[in-house]
Amino acid sequence: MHTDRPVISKLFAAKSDMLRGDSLFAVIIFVVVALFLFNLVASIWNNIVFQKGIEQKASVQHTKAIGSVLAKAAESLMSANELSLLRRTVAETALEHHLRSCRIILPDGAILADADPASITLINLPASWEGTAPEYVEEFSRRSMHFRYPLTVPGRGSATLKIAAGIDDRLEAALAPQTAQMAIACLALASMLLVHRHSRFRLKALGAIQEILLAVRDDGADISSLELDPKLGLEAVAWNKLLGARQNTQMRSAIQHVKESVHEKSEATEALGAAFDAVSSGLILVNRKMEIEHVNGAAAVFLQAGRPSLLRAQVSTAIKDPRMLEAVRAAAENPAAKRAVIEVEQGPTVTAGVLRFTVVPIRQGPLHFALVTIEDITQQRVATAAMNSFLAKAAHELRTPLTNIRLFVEEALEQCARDAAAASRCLNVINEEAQRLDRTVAEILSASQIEAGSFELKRDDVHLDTLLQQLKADHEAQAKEKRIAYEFDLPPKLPILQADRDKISLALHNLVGNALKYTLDGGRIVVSAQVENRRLSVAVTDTGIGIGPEEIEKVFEKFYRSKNPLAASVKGSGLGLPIAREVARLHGGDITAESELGKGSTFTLILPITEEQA
Amino acid sequence: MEIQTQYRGAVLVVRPSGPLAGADAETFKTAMEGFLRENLGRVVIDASALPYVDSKGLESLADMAAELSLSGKGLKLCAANDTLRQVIELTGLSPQFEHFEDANSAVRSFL
Repeated sequence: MHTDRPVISKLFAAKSDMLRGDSLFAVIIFVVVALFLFNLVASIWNNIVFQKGIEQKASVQHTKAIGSVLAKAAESLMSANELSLLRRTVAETALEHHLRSCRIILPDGAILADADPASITLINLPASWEGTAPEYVEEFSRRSMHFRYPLTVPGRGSATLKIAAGIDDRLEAALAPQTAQMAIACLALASMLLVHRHSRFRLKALGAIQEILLAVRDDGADISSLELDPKLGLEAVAWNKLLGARQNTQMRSAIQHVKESVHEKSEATEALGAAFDAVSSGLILVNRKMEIEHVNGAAAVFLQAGRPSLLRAQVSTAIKDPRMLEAVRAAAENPAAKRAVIEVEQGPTVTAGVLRFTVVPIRQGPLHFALVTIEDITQQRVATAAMNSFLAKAAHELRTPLTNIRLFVEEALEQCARDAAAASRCLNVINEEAQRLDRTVAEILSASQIEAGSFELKRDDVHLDTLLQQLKADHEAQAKEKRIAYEFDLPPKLPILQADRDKISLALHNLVGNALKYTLDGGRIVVSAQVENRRLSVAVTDTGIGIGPEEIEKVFEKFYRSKNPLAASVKGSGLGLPIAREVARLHGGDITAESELGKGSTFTLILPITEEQA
Repeated sequence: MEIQTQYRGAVLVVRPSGPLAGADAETFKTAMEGFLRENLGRVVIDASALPYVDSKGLESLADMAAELSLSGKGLKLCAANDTLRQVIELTGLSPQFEHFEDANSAVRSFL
């Protein structure tokens, strides 16, 4: 407020230093009005004094003139002995001219005439009387004047006319308007003083506010530092209140701004946290003190711990592997540390899984963190192992018929010249092995299609009765060869399915083929069909070697071969049932198995059908 | 309701049979919570044998999906029939689920 201000403002400031808060204009107006009023009062007073002098002189002259005239008249009337007229004249004159007293006195003191007739002591005028004639006398007091006129009655004697008249009464009455004017002017001046006294106090506050506003206009001074002394009055208090309100508004605005900023930041943090949680990989941020700064939901699941317990906890409480801890420590302390990848087996079972921990250092200004990324690679491990196993088993399955083919080709080559019958047997075996190889390759292809997800259905109308007749025909010879009773228990009417004919046929052939393979000579196989609850069930029941309860689900795994010694001699790829179940499931159905070791098994193909199909 | 399970690699395929409705919904949800916990979320629901779901069934599926989303995972459904898909679509819950044509595709999504 007091630096680098223009000259005018400095003048204002100088004035305010002398008379802080006064308005110069108001002071000038006040002084002018006060001078005017004072001048008016003085003029009126002077006028009153002057007028009073004039009026007094006029009054004296007037009374003197009355006295002179009355003296002349009295001498004449007394000479003519006209006493009654004299007395009336005296009384009327006194009354008319507001004389206090008017009387004619003889030298002996007898009152010949008086304004008050009751005061008359001499009724008749004597013929003559003694005494000397008095001299003319004038006497003035503050409120009255007295005149004595000598009267000479020729031939009789002398007498005295005494007149007394008041001065003030008449003067004050004459000067009343001026007096009233002066009183009003005095009153106005007094009021002016009172108003000035009051307004000066008020104007001080207004003047101070004006100065502040000018200062703010000139150099943008901080209003908050310009509070007024509350003693300056209501305006100062109001001004301070305004300043306070403004400060409060600014404060609220600043708080609101801060709140909004914090809210925005909080929203951004929440969004970041939500994004952090949406990542399926586990993420853990570890500071230099080896404390967990942040952990996402996936990491909590992988570490099988609650998030609240992980936050701010030592990382060693969540990760036990010493290699991991060393890698995290290195990354947290050294931003130039190399990325570390460690795969950790979680528990002994496959479900616990294999987790891959990747530790990278993060530098954020002076802060160093280690970011630990956790990925579940169990399925990759299992898939790789399954592929390796599949390839090994597939190679084995292919090698067995190929070995037979190679051996019998050699045998046929040796025997063909000597023994045509033996050569023919060899060729038959080669043919059978080639067919087996063909089936195995087809099954492996199907299995690989299942693995690759390209095992697709080509749906068409499938007449189930025709399909089952074909199934019966295809396996009758084999059943007859093993003396197995191969029976079909079918309802009179079977539905027409919307399905992939070849694949349904493949599934049923696999079920019946398995039943024939694992049913001993003289056994029984029954294929039955049933439609109920919008489901078609085709059951293949055999009296074969059966499956133990521990193996009942495993037979649906690829390349699984029963541990039952009776099944060891049975040739098979271990792909028939898995493929059949996959076919059923692709159609929205399933294959279920019920079995009792040594008594037989029932595999049921279940397919959903529509109401129309039923 | 019958619940069948089968491991395909490290992934557990859970196959409920019958309507997911009423008290069965709670039973299924309890079982699923155990499967999800034991398998670190590597679970697929094979819905091929689910003819329909009621509101409780949908609620249990949505609850499971919400729980999984906290760890950045989704509830994987496969082979759901048209009715089930339409119900999920109409109730606006479809963004909460990952749907696959068959179990193999769902299992491969864990690779």
